[in-house]
Amino acid sequence: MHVGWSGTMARIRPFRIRSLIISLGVIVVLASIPFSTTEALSIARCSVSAQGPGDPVADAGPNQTVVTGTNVRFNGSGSSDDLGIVNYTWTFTYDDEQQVLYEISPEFEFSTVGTYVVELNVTDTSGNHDADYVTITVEKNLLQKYWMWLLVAALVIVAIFQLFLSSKKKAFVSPKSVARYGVLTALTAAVTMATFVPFAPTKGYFNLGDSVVFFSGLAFGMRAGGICGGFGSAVADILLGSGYFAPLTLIAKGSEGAVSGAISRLKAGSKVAIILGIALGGACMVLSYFIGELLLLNVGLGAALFEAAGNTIQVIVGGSIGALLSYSVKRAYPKLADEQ
Amino acid sequence: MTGFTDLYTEGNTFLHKLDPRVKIAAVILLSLLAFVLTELLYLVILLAFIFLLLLMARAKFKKTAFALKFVLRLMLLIAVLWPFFDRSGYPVLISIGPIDITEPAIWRGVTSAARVGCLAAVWYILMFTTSQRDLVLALVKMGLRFDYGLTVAITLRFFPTFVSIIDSITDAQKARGLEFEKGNLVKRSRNYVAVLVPAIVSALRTADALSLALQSRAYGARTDRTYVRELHMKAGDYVALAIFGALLVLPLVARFLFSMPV
Repeated sequence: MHVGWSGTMARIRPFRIRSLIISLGVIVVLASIPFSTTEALSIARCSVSAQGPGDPVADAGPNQTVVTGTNVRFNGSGSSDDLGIVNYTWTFTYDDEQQVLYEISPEFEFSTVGTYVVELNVTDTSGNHDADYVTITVEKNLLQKYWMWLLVAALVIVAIFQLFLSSKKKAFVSPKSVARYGVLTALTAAVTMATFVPFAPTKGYFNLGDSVVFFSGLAFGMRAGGICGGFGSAVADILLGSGYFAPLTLIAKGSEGAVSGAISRLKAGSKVAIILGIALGGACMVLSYFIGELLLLNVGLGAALFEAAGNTIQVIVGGSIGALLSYSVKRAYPKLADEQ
Repeated sequence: MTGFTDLYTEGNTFLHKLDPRVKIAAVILLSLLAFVLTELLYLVILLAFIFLLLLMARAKFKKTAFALKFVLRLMLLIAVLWPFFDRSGYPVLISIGPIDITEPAIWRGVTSAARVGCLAAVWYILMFTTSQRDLVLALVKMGLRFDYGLTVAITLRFFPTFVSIIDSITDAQKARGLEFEKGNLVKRSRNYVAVLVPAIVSALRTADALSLALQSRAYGARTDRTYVRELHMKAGDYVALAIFGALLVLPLVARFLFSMPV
């Protein structure tokens, strides 16, 4: 089935550019923090050398910090001599074995975590030599660091789904609930697709789908919010061709709907509870996507931050509209207020 | 802009005939394979293999392009932004202020982008060749409770309906003078409330009628219900499952038993 929309691009362009500028600003600010600290440290470093005329000067390049499995390329091109260097020798201990590499910039794959001090020895045509040291720090990559947590999270999710979706003891959910969940889930997916704006690039769209997720949570509680948010947004992902995001979406948007539904109904749905529910639900969504993209999809810090900025805007807009909807719909459809 | 509410295309290829459970397993196995592979070359080969399967399943170019559009945007973003946040490696190609662009970082970005491309394209094997009815049946047969399976089925059934309802409400509100093109993000989103409220009310009315229809058909009378259509694994399904399994196991063996770089 084909569904056509007209004027979609014209509708979204100005605020898309503005959001893009805001996100890029956030990225630049965050990116500049670690760089300035390392720069300050490298300025503090000084070297002393005592050399006669004609002796070569070795330069093993700056220290490197890499994650496991990376090919490290040493760089001895900063070394100098008045006549010319004939030999570069790189020596270090790796896995209890002496490693010796020749050439000006050889490569070596570090798979074991540790700190390696590599000695560079340069020899010139007249047999004089000089040494310099470079430290290679090999760290665990993110997945190796956090795999235990991911495993625990996966087990918890499987356990929740077992309790939630496949318990055979209880009778089926009432026909009223099944119809309501199904229809609201379809509406979430439809709103996600129809108010679709190609903005948040990792997921491919900015949309008002969150407002329906928050509405479902606020109006019908935790389970409705969880199912509409999780299933509806995951279905939209799959139907829009971003199926690889569906498992992540199921958790991110499912928790968004469930948490906002659970908290916003405390204290008989007071304003504070609603705001708190939307904020915490939204935080669940932004964090789930950020962690999932960084650790599982490995999109890199840049793309993950970009996406988190987009998701935050989405939560703010979707949350305020969702709260507005829960009031307006009750006015327009009084039957809903009677049931609550 | 054209969208698709169902990526499924009718066909009679071997992928269409494959048991939907095998296709779901294939999506999971090939996704894991994309995580196992670390070399760019092998990821590109995997991507080529997936597109070969799609070609054999007679995937419509238009649908593939529509589905790929969002993925390509993400892949581009990863490849472009990666080098700015990963300063390890030599040689340094460009150095602007505190930012060093290194050659290995560029390759790592491209590799990660290729992996995301594989992860996305794998889903098309399932979505282009499996009807929604088969998909729900497969999920229920794999252990999803029937009532939640029914929820998914209702979702898929009403999704296109609601897309067109939202479309006509938008047109109706535009005819009354509501503007969706003007104003800032907040104002424009607020204008959408005028579309969302009627859409939600219409959805809730639909739900009421649907719940009566479900009750009149004795939904939930017995939890051990039977099905008119059953899924049966054929010899070809087992062969396909074995092939997809082997595709995942072989690189694992190569890496952990023979420590070959894959």
